[in-house]
Amino acid sequence: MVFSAEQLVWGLLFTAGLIAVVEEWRISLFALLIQYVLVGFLLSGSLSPSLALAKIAMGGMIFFILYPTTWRGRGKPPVRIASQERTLATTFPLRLVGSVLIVLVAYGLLHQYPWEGVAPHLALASNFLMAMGLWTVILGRGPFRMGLGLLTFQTGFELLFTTWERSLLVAGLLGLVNILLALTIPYLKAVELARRRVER
Amino acid sequence: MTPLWIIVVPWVMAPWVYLFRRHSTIATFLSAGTALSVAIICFLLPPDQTVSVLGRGLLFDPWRRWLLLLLFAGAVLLFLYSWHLSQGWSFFPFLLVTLGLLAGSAMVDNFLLAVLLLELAGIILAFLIQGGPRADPRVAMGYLVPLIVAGSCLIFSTHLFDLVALYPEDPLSVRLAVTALTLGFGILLAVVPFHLFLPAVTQEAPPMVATFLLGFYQVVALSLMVGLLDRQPWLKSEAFNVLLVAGFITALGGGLFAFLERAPGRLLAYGTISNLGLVLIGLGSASGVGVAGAIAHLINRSLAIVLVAMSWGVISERYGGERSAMPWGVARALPWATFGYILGGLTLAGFPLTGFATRWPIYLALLPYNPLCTFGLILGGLGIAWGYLRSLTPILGRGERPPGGREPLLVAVMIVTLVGTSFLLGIYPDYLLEPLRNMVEGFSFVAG
Repeated sequence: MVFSAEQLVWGLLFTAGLIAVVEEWRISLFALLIQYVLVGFLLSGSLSPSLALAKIAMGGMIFFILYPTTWRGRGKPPVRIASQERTLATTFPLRLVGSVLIVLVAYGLLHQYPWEGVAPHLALASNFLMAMGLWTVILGRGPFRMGLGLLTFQTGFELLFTTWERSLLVAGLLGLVNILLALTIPYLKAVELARRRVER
Repeated sequence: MTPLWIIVVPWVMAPWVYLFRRHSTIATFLSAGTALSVAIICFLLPPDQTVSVLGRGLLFDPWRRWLLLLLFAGAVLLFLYSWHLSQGWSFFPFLLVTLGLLAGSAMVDNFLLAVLLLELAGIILAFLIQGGPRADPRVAMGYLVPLIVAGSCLIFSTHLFDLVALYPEDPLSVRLAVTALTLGFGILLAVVPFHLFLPAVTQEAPPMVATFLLGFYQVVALSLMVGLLDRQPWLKSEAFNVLLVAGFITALGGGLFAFLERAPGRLLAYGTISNLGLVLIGLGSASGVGVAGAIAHLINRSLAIVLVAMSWGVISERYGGERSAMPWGVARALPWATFGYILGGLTLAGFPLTGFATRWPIYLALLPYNPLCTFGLILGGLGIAWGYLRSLTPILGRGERPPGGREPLLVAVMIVTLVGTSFLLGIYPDYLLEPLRNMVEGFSFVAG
């Protein structure tokens, strides 16, 4: 294997952190793609290589589903809706501090309640991703960022669940959930852009 | 003929309907015809069949037959309503795909696969909730977040079932499984206090999409819960207490929120949430009367949801969705829609001759546990009635007949039919309760 399990977990923590903290859409989207690749590598140790490769391919598909709509909406500031206005809770320092706290909570929870029958590095990565995914959803101010949070949460959950349930049918359906979820994000983003045009 | 047709037919027809999505007449009749054909298949197929697909069993028993008949017969009404009152360009094909997924979820003999199919159907519903560019996309997103979290909780619970099977004496695994199921079903069904996303959805989504979500999608989710109670005997001890407590909080909480609400969309959400609480109490009582009453009430609740949503849908389409900006005297222009709205509201509130008939067995089932709680349920119903009474101000207010045409004929006919059915069910509930009582005797968790 090219990377050790520890390196992969650190990589996942870094990419999930980037998605939560950085608002630049290109960085978030590439971080998501790398996240899927790292998950694929991490799973290749415990699953069949073809299934791990399928996870990476699914990540690639999600990236290409999300990229065009996000590219179309680049550089356009969000609509001035009261609940979407920039507040202290959405500033960079608070996102960063919040993310660090979330990681610590996820780590603490894992020590208190370890997942039985799951390799420690997989459990750690899964806890981090689920916690950071939910944190990104909470911080999100529109479909794109909230969607990235949901996809991160789902990736973390799948990491955990695929170690218990290795059926090909279940893996396929979970993949379909991800793809459909990814399809709703550009649709809702496109609606957001259309509404922005009307309000101008 | 195999039960597989029930899943496959809507999926096969969906691409054809998609091609004609801009021609509402063709799309309506293709979609309604498909749903009607599948409903007939459900009616004609002999129950107690099992089919194997990809190594997994598909069950078609009397319980699922009832459920699928309700699902597809209801879909026929929703499709016909959307003929003249558009529910969004994607409504017809996407709802057909969702129907196939829900039928699969209801029939598959594996809880994990059923949850995954339900989750997929839920995600497709997010496209329909958005409907068009007018709705706020954050509402659809706000619906997706609890859906994914609920799905994960339910999927996680399947792993805990394995642990319980391995270590049946371990109370921690049982408690964890019940917690995961409570969270999963609680969020999915919008049980109080996990209900916050639902009023926004019913307010923003096209009326028939909200109807499908409240009156049919939630019913399939509940059927999964019933199936689980039937097949996992170790759940009984803890789950029924949870159901009774959650049901009471939901019934009372929903009624209280409805008491404070005047916007019809949100009011519909709170009314259905409160009625869901009653259904949970009926199931939690685990008695023949209570469970049969819960299922009958679930059917009555779906009927009331369709009635209110259809009626309010016509009113809001003619005079705008904002109640405060509506001209007075709408009832003069839209008498049938107004009548349907009032009767649907009364059914949700549990008034005699309408919704009370299916509430009564649940009250009876709850009485041995706590008579005071029964009084609380009646209070919840009064809260809904008060909310509907307040929402009627501009509709029943005195004024000149506002400009704008009457209801489309087909919609008026459907509203009158639903009103008639609601009255029939209110006056002769035994026609529904009697066969249901026989059916629920087959459930392993029903005592006496």
